[in-house]
Amino acid sequence: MIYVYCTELRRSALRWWLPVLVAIDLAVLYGRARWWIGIWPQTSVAAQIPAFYFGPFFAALAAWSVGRASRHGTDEQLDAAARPRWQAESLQLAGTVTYGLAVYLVGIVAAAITSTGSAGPGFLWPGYLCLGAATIVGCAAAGHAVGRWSRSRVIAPMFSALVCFVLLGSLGDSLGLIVLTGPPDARVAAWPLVTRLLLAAGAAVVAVAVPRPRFRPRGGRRPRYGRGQAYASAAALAVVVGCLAAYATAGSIQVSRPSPARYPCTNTTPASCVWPDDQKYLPQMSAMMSRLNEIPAGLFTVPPRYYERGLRAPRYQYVDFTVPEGAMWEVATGIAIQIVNATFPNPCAAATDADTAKQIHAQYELGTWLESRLTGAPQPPSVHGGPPGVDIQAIGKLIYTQQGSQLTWVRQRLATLRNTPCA
Amino acid sequence: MREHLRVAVRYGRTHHAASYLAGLAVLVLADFLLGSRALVLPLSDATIAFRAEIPAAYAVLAAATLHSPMADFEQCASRRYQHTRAAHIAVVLALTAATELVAEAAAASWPAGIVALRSVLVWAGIALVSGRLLGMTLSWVLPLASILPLTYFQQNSDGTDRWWDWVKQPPGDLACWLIATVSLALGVLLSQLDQWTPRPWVPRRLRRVGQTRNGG
Repeated sequence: MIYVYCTELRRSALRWWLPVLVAIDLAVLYGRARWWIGIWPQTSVAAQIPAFYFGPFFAALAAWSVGRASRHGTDEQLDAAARPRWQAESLQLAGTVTYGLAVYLVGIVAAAITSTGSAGPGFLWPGYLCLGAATIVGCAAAGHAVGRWSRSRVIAPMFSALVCFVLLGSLGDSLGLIVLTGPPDARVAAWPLVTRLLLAAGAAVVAVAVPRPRFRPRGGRRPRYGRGQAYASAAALAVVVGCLAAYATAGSIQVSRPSPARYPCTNTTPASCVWPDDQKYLPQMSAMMSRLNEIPAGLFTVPPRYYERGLRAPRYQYVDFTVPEGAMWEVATGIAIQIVNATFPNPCAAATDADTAKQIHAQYELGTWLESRLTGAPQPPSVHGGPPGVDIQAIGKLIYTQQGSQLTWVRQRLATLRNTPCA
Repeated sequence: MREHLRVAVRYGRTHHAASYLAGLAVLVLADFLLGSRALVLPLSDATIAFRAEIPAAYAVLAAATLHSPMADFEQCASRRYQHTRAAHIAVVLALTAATELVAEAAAASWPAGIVALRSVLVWAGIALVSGRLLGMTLSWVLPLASILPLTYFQQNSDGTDRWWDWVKQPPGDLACWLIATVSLALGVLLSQLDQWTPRPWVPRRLRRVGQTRNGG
C-alpha cells in the first residue's frame, strides 16, 4: 500500500505544480494584509484563509484526477482487480489530499516563522488550522465523489468547484466552515470542530466507498453489486448523515474566550489594556494615550482605563474597543465614544427634533475630532464613510491648527450639548 | 441543405451539444437563484455577488465543447475541418454570450448583462488559452485560478476597484473591453494553431494528475 501511495505521489503532475501552488498560498497570506503578523490567533486564521481558495481548486482537481479510470478505459479492470476497489480509490484520494495539505502546511510554517519575532505568548492555534485542513479534505472528497459518479470530464470538475465555491463563499462563514477573523476574545469550540473534522472524514469515506450507480445495461442483465459493496455504500451514507446531524446540532465554531487573569496595560494615565495576544499594539496604545493627555484637562471627563473587548464583564461588550485588522482608528473610535459618554453621562431627550439633530451632530463632530487627535492624523482613506453630516475633511485640517482655535471650536460643541433644551 | 443539417447534428453529437445545452440551462438557473447572493470573502468589506463570477462557468462550458472523443483523430484533419472548428468557436461563443446577456438582463439589469457579456468574453479567451496549454478537458484550470485575483486582490488600498477588475468596472470601461479583446484574440489564435502544434504545449508529465504508468 505504501509503495502504491508513493507511486501516486511520484507520478502526479502536482509535484511539478507545487511551487506554483505554494506561491499562490503565500500570495494569499501576505499579498493583501500583514497586520496579523505577531498575533497568534490572527496568524492562525490568516494561515487558514488559503483553504478557502484551495478547497474549490482541489475539489476540481480531485474530480479530474478520479476520471483517469474512465479516460484510460481501466474502470472494469480496477473493478476486477485482486484488491478491492476502495483501496485504489482511497490511495488516489490520499494522493490528491496530500498535495493540498502539503501546500497548506507550507503556508502555516511561513506564517509561524514571520509571527514568531513580534508575537505575544502562545503559539499557533491548532483549532483554526484544523478547520482549514477539514475544508481542504472535505472539498477534495466531494470532488472525488462527483468525479466518480459523473461521466463527464469537464462538467464534473467545474460543477464540484462551483458547488464548493458557492458553499464556502456564500455560507462558509454562517455555516462555520471557515473563519474570517480570529479576535483574541474568541476561541474555537472543541465539539463543533470535531464535527467538522468528522464531516470531512465522512465525505472521504463516501467518496471511496460508493461506486457509480450502474443502471440496467443493454443486455438486460441485472446490475450486479457485490453484497458487501451495497452494505459498504449504505454504511458510508449512514455515517455521513450521522456526521451531518452532529454538525448541524453542534453550534457555533467560535465561542467567547474567558478573560485572562493577567493582561498587559500601558503604563500611562489614562491606561489602555489589551489581551496578552495583542501586546504588539502596546506601543501604539501608549502613543495614543499620551496624545490624549495633550488635550487640556477640564474639557472632557476622561475615564482612567480603557479595555479591549472581552477583558471585562460581558455587559461592557459594546463599550470596549476592538482592534479589527490592526486599525487604530477603530480603537480611537471606541475610546472617543467612551469619553463623550463619560462627559455627558445622562443626556436628556431633546425638546424638539431640530434640537435632537443639533445634539447628535455636535456629538459626532466631537467624536471625530477626538478620534483624529487620538490617532494624530485625519481619518485614513481606508475607513469608508463616517458619522453622517460631519465634514471629515475640515476636522482633518482642524487638528493641525493652533491649540487655541481648536479649543474654541470644541467649547462651542460642548456648549451646544450642555445647552440642549430638555423635553 | 438536409445533408448539411445531418452533418451538423452529427458534429454536435461528438462535441457534447446535449451536455452543453443542459449546462447552459443549469447556469441560467444558477444566475436567477444565486446571482444576487453576496460572496463572503476573507478580509474584505467589498461585496461581490455571485453573478460576477458565474460567467467563468459559462466560458468554460463553451470551451469544453471543443473537446470530442475523436480529438486525436481531429488533430490530423484537413484544412476544411479547421474552418469548421473556427465556425464552431464563433457559434458557441456567440450563443453562450447571448444567453448570459439575456439571462443577466432578465435577472438583474441591462448594464449588469453587458458586464456579464464582457466577462464571458474575457473568460472564454482564458479558457481557450488554458485548453491550448493543458488540453481541452483542462480548460477550466486558468479560469478557476483567475477567480483568486478577482475576489482577493481586486481592490486598491483606498477601496476602489482595480482598473483590470473586469467584473466590477462599469459596462463602458475601455480598459476592460481591451482586456476582453486581447484575451479573446489570444485564445482564438492559439486554438487555431492546431495545424502546426497538434499537441498541448505543456509537456505531458506536467498535466498528469494521478495517472500511473500503466494508465490505471
